[in-house]
Amino acid sequence: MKIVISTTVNMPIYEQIVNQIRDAVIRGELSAGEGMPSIRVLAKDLAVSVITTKRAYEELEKEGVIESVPGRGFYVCEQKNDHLREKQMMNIESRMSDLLKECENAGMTLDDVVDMVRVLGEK
Amino acid sequence: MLQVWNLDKKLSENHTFHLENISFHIPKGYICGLIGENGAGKTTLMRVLMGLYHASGNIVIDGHDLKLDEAAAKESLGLVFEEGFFQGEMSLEQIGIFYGQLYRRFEMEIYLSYLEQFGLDKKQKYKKLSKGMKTKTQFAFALSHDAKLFLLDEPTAGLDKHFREEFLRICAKLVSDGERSVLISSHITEDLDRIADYIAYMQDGKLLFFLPKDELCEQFWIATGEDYKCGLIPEEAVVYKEKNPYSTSVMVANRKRFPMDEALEKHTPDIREFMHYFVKGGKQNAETVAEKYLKK
Amino acid sequence: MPKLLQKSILKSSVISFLFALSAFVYLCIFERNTYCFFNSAIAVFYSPELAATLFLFKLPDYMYVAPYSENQREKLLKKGQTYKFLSIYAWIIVLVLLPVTFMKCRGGSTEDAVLCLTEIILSTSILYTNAFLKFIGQTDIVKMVVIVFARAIVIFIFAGCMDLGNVTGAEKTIELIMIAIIAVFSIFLVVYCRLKYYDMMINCMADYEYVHRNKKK
Repeated sequence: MKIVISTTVNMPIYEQIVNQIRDAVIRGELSAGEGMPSIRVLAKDLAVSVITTKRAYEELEKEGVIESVPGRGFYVCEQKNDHLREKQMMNIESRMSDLLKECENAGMTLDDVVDMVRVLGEK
Repeated sequence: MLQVWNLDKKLSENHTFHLENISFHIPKGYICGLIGENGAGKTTLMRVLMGLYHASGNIVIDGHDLKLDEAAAKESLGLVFEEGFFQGEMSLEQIGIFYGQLYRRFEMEIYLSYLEQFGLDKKQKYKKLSKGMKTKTQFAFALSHDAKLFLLDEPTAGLDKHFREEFLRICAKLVSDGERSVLISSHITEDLDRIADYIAYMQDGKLLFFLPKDELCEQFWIATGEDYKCGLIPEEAVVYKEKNPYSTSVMVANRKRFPMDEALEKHTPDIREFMHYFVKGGKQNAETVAEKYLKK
Repeated sequence: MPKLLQKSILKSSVISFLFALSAFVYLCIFERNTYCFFNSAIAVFYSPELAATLFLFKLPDYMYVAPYSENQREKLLKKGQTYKFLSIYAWIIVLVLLPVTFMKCRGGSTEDAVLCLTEIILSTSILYTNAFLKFIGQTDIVKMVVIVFARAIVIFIFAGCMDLGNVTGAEKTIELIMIAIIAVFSIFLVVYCRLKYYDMMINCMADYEYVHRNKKK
């Protein structure tokens, strides 16, 4: 599993971690029952504060992506794929609407946007 | 790991050193960022924690009282601070030999490997080094005697981004076993955004607040938009309003209670933004805001 | 004792020794009296040595953050100060042991021996109490002035007694009494400083804030 933190992007770090782990689970990179690094180990590996990874894990637990087993650590849950997919879609939707707002400000019409997406997507 | 109760330092004749009723507690395995304007007393506080200055109150480091069990407490301290106190005439290797001997758990091999990792020549004389390299030397030394509490005063000032990244990695690694803690006094708030678990803010010798970083920042919104819309925000919630050429920005406190107009763009402040508005709002205002919303 | 401190004490002692040695060389060249190599007046007015004795042994700054308690720092300061004292007096000790001095003192009359001995006591007292002057001045400026003044008077009286070998009768008796008083006073001064101020002074030196209080941040 690879997690990349960007300090320049506006998204809080814990959110970046949550998204990337969620995506990894959906992609199948992390399988159900697989063990996650401990909060502290993850904090060390990413060079972020402990409360950040703790928060990320709490969010993921809330979403049902991972679960904590007392005394043993965190494990990836059996996934109801729809539920996860839904969250993933919500995320993308929110980022897309921010982007669309920007496009609107730039004076692009919906067609302009669709054209741009097509051109970029075909690369 | 570090417990401070009712630290008081009376004004001295030249009125430069002054601390008032400071209490906080950094648990084992966490990193605390100490912020505040110049002259707020951050350096004085660090000096007191290092055992250089006297103050009334209690300081307990790794279970040892700094006054009653001075030697044992200082054994657990890893330090980086401006003067450094290393004799300039010595080479870095000699510094390891002479100063390392003062600590029970100092290991020369670890020290030398850090020197190498930081790109320092062990045969160089300390006084010939640039300020940044002196800081690196101090850091290498602090990491080499199994310290439990690290007091770092502006450890990355004047150092390039590459080393700052390395520094952050080392700090995160230090606390990863849950046994060590770090207190960093720094102006480089981006670093603190990333690795600080707690934030302590000082003003005029007082500790205005000591909170987990997320709890602090998520008390506030930075709302940006039309001046008129910003003006509609209730006065009591406004920390500071800043008129810019193209828009107005407001930092709003206690955000859970005050719903925001949809038209305003809002985001959670990072530490730099928080400090900017907090300081601009004035000292009295800062104390009020801290008292109302930032006390546990 | 840690190597760092050994280095520091060695440096301090060598500097003191060299100053004291230079005073000795100076004395030998300009020696004016026939009974002894020592000359309190010159010792008092020979500034470099005087200056050297005014400064106490100081701990390296790092010792204030290193794992030592205040008690331990005090003990180390006392050790360092002792070595520094010894190196200042080294020349006296060496000379006293030199056969040349011995012969000179022995070859002279009793009066010469008395003057010689008194002068050693007086010089030692001046050099020793110099170390306390700065500290006493900080706690009680009046006392410091009194001590310096008294010392100066004592030196002049002693200078006046140097013709001991040439006087007789009542004058000689008076001079002998003066010399006795000078010797007693010198010893008294040493004991007074040692008992009253030494521990206090060392205690202050073990405190970083005290040592650096006059330096601007």
